[in-house]
Amino acid sequence: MDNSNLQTEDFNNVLNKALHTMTAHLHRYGSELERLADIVEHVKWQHQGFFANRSDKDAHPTVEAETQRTQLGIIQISSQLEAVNSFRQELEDKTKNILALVFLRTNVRRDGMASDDQ
Amino acid sequence: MIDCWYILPVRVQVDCNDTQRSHALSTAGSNQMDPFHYLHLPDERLDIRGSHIGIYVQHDLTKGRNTALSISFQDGRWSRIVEEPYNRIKEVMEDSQGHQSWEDPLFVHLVYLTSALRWWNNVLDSFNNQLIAHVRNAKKTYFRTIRDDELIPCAGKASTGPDGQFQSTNGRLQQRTE
Repeated sequence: MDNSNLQTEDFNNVLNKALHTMTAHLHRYGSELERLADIVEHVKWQHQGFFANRSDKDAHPTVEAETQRTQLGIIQISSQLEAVNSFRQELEDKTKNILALVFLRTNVRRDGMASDDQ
Repeated sequence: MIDCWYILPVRVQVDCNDTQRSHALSTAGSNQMDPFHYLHLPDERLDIRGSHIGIYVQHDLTKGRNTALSISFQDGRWSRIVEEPYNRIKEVMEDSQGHQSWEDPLFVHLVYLTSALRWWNNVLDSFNNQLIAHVRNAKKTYFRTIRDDELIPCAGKASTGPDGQFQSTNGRLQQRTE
């Protein structure tokens, strides 16, 4: 009887640690993705500034087409990055929820108090 | 002459069949709390490894010449992943040489950014799967099925079991003898 209680407590500790580690990593992912967004902005700015507005003698149709293709590519990257950002945020919320659940479980057991909210 | 340089933060997922315990033997493996180090996903059997790629591109508008320099700090153990952007750029250049067509010099950035983004997406995906696995394991542990001669693992409930034989006292379950 005691053994299974101890097993569950061990499990809780391990899971708790794993979840805290995951939360820490998620935070770092957030700042790294922000950095990525800044880089994309910078590339977009540079492309618009120096390559998208060329003088007439350089306006060969292929050049224009390729330039526009690159521009669209950059815009597409921006929107994909936004999707990745919201995904990351969703994961952070999920992890917090699971941590709260485990916390609840752990505390119910330690107090020895009965709880009907399972 | 236009210069552009940045350091791209990347995270890649790498197959890893080592157990959590064997990871604890290395310095980085036992410091996973620090997001600088890698993260081991036990149920997915993957490691999420973070690194950086330094990129420097120089455009000489007058001569129409572009130089790109990329320094990857990634580990050579997953060389196939690391060399992917390089192979893509090589393909583009070989392709355009055949057609004598013009390539927008910023395609180098696009290659690296798209590769990095794809890696990020995969990393978050596996992360998500690991979270789901954790929840599943938790459910299994918290709500273990009851066998006839076995006590119900502590659920903290003060109620009687399905057949009225078990009773909870101080959060511990004991079998009530009749």
